[in-house]
Amino acid sequence: MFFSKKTKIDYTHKCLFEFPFTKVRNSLYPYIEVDLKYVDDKKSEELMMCLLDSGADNCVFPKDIGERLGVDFSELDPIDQPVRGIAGEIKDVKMYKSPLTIEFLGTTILTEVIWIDKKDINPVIGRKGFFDKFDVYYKQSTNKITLVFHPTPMCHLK
Amino acid sequence: MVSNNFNFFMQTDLSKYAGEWIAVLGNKVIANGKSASEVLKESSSKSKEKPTIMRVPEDNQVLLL
Repeated sequence: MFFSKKTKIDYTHKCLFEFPFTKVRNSLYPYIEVDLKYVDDKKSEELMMCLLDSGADNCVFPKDIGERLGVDFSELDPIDQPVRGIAGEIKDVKMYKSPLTIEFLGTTILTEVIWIDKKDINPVIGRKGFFDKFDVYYKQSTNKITLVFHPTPMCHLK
Repeated sequence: MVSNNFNFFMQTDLSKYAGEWIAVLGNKVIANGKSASEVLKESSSKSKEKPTIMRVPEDNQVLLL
């Protein structure tokens, strides 16, 4: 969807959130803090900073976090379809899918996520699930990530 | 809402933890290590409160996502 010159976004719904990018040395990264829950139990939840990645289909997390949250990987079959990153197919690493509840700013998102059996991966919030609930604006010039929760002004674009 | 730990990530230079997982609680890093489960285990031995964890990107890394 493209904005025409006449389009004005009305933020009166008060469902707009802005965050600065996270700076690591000379680079800026779009991180958000989410609360991950596999079962509805306070004991099995984890707060995690995740990269907000509009290019990723799915949310991706390391498998050891899934184990802490209570995912029983012995009951899951590894993903047998190719999983690709921008550098090509990810091989020789087991991956699994399971449902997961992701909470962000009071919004609960139940979605299917991918668990990767690798400890040094950067957790990613991808489009499936999250981007259905939030419109995401990356404003590199002002060092801000803007998130607009649905129902949003986007619904009223003419 | 976001946790009290969130501002720490926005305001702190995390370069010295590049490539590591960190657990943050009460405006300080209470654990760091090579895996998320390792830092959560260490942080739970120090506090009953939930920390926020993050994997800090490597210094010399270009992320192509």
